[in-house]
Amino acid sequence: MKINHIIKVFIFGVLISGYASGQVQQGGILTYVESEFPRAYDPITATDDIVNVRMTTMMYEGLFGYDIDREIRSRLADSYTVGRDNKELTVRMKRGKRWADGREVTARDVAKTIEAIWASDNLQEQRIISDIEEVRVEDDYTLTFLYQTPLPEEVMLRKLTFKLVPAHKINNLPLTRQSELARSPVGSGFYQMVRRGPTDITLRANQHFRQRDGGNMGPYIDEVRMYVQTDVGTQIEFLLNQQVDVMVEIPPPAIARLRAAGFQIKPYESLAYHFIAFNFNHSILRDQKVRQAMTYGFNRENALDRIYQNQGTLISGPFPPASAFYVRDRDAEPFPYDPAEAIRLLSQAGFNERASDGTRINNNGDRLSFTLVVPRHEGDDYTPRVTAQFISDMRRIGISIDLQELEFERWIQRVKYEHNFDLAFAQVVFDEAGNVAPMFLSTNNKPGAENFISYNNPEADELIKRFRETASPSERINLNRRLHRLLREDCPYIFLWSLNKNAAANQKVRNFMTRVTPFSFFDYVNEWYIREDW
Amino acid sequence: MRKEFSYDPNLEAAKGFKAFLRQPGSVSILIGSLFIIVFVAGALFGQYGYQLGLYPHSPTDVQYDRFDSPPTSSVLRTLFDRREEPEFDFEYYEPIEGHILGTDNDGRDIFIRVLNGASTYLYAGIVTVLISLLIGITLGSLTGYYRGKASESVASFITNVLDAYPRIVILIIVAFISHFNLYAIMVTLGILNATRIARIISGTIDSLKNTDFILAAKEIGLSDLTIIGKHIVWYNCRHLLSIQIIYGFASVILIEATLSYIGYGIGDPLVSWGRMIYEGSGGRYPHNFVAGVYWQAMPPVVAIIGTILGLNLLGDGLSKRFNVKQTDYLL
Amino acid sequence: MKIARPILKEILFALLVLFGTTFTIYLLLGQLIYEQDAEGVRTTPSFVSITAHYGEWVTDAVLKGELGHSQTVNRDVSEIIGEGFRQTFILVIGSIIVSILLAIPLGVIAALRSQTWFVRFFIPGTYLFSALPVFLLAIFIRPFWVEHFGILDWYAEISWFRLAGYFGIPIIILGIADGVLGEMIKHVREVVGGMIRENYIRAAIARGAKVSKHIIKNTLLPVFTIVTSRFSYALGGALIVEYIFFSQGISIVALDALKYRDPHVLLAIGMIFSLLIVAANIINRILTVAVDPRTRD
Repeated sequence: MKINHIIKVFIFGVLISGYASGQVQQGGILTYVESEFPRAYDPITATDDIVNVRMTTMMYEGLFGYDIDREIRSRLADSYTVGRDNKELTVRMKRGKRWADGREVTARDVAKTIEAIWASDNLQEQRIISDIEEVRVEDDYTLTFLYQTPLPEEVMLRKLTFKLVPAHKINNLPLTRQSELARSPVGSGFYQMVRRGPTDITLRANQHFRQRDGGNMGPYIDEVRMYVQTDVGTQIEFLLNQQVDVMVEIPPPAIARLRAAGFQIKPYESLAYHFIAFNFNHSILRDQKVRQAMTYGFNRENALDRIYQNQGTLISGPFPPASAFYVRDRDAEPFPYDPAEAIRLLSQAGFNERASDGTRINNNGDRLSFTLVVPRHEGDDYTPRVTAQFISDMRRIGISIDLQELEFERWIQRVKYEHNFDLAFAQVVFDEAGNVAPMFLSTNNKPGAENFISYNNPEADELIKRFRETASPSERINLNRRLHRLLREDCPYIFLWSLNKNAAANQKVRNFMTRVTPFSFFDYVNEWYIREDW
Repeated sequence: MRKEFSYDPNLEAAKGFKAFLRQPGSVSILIGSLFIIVFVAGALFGQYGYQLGLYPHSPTDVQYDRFDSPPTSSVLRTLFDRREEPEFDFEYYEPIEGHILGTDNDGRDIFIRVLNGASTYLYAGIVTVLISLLIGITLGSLTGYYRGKASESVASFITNVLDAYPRIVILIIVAFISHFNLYAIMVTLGILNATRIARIISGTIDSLKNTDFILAAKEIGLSDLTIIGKHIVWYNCRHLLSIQIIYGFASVILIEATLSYIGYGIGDPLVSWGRMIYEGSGGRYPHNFVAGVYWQAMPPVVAIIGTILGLNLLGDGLSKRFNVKQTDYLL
Repeated sequence: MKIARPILKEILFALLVLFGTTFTIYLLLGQLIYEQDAEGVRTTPSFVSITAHYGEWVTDAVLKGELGHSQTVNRDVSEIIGEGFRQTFILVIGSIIVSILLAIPLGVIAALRSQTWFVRFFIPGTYLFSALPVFLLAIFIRPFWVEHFGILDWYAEISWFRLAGYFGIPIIILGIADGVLGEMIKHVREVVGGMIRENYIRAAIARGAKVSKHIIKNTLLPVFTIVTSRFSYALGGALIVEYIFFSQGISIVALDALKYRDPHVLLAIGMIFSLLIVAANIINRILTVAVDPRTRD
């Protein structure tokens, strides 16, 4: 049976590689399925939800973008020169790029976009452009950006990865979801929206794009159609029944089944990580030994393997495992599961005795008993299982955990604004540029700020401050690696894992995701094509 | 509206089990009570079995070396373990001695979890029913007894407002507000269930108000509280209320299971059957069912069906016994 | 003419109830919404501001017929709800028809042939089956439904068979589960059982006259009473069915609105729900009065 299985896989592999070298075909319809309807269609008000982002990446274009290795690549920009002191950047744009309504994309659109981002309340986009002090429009196709501090060339370009909006469609700022643009999008990307039904959206290739580039840069696929289906199980059935071609995210347990049915499965990093935060206002949790003990005492390997079917990486610090900042040394690996070590550390911290219910207490009578505050998302099957395992593991080493599940907004209120928690389960998105100041700088502890654990470590503050001041890429890597080691040892969080997501596609979608970046699933959709005869 | 029910004097005089069986609805009452006794005993065992050392597995502890193990009994395995050797990579788990119904995805013993779930519902059911009785009787007496314009319209306004919404929607909102707290769900459901009880009480009072014995009781100088509490609620409504209590209890189980299934129910460490069914089927993508793993979801399903069956039999039997018509408590 | 006054009273009272329900919902929602002041402190709105906001919404709804605008979905509330309710309406009406079609024959059989084994075991079995929650039946039928009827492409040609299965199976589940069917059967059984004991029916049967038409006509009314009094259950069940089968429709809109704090959408849905239920109550009242004029007061 096993050999049979291997042969099947082998033959299958040969078939796939044979077809992969097939001829590129023009035309066809690509269908994909989402769990939710997008809520806005412009790149400024729509960034709060990944569904919106996926849709807008097909319709809008930026000066620069990322490629598969997360290197910067020019999109609408033609060339650039770095000016004096690494504080100035002059960008020349490609000529003849057009908005979906036929107008040309000019430097004024860029300036207006930056103005619109500042006028909006979109913190995420504002963080991208945060260090840009001034934009000067030199002529229709040339712009000069002035930065507040000297920055490495790469970081300067990262600041320009925002998507452009058409200046002539913005009547008044700030842009809101009631604005015309948010409802009927006009972009300079590969596709434009042609129909919005009750459960579907149809995009058609941007004709102006096509004409200009003679089909070289433009997309091969004529039409992209999105369907909405909330239920993941039904989504998978649709995929299996060939009713949709692409599913952007499949649940880990379905991977084996879909792979066996001959679908392409492409993993991609979610660029986010989970952690359990310690509240540093709690006197017991301020003890590093207790925090380390809890990290040792939680069987994270097992949770990742059992609950997420091993679709992810355990982490030991706040950087993406694929990035240059992440330390890969043997001495910086995630803490192993070691309950004996955990118990030893707890004893060292003074918690030697056990109360009648098995909870450890110290000589003052302080119990190792904490509340864990967890956000509950509808349809999230994994978090409850993680917390159940965490609580069970903690009980084994003598820590009793009182679980409180909160609806997400309430969780934010409780954790980020009131700081009223002992432990909090949370998820955060990696910062690509490696800036972790919001989470760990001691001054960022106001209500609503990201350092909701009130972390205060002078050494970390110093490293973060120096990171922000320096422009040298190698020095930045060096500083962040030191910070990584420091945080791994100090355990301000129990760093859990960074998950992989998996996309699945029908075999007829060729060149599928050959270049995908996590937050822009469809960034390179122009290189995909459909072969009905695969 | 009141139904006169008189007992056959022969039956009343005859004692013993046989006599009991000859009364209408006794078989249903008997079987229903058996189910309920099993339910209560199971609930107590589920709550205290592990703590007292009667059962080796805890309902909440995740055990690493025993995931997804099928039931030990071969009959249950043939019923609920429909796994075939699939084409794709699939680990086959063997049954582990000591886990009668097998274990779930996280290695928790399903048997003790189902029983522990029963204890959740037992507790929630009792509290909910008490709340609904308290509110229902108060509101019902207000509308029925003090037929003043103001009190009547206020009470009838309240019952109408409570009825004018699918209860599942209200409960979802309450779950959101209360952090998925069992108490909040119990109180809300108690209030929502109270409307029917209120209608019964006010209806009965309405029909009895001008009867001789109530007028006589008033003449003697009995207080309103005594008249309502003793002569109306106890003597003339208890048969209707007992059926209401049973259906109220059933509604707690059904509604909590539904809420849990769609993800708005109570959370750990309390065990909910709805949640168990959801997780046992595999979640939003029911991969356990796809793979043929049924033993994780079926025990809570059977438990729900069994409990509802028991409660329904009991309710049916009681209404036959007391000769209560549907119309008596429906409207 | 005599019937008009109590109905008018009923309608006035219903309007009051409508305000009561929507305001209750709004008060509850107020606990979920946070307002941020200039210093970054987040609080839930006060009772006064909730009341003021509710007042605004009601004035708009009553005077202009506008149900407000949804911030998150970025569309007019009436538009969203109109779309969502079509499906819910089909489900609820369909399920009511299904339960009536099942309940009347079963109830009549149960009354006329009460000593047969079929009635002794099958009918209680039906009661039990119908007492089960919707989701329990739905999860076992859903895989089958998805495999055979799960339609996606509304722009392609859909066969009638598929369409019937697509709506039919959820409708049947909704019609059977959640207890309405069981209650109806019991009710019909009682009514028919009571009727055949009446002398004039016995006489008619003895004379060989056809009484079935008469019996069915007489059972319809109590059945409708149950339908109207259990209407809110059917709506609640429809939400679950939509959640499990369709992932579209009013329940998804409502849950999304709750998740994204969209009070106007929820208020409008709440208003329509309670409008329907209150209307059902009024119809119920009229029916009762029509049958038995003594209950007019």
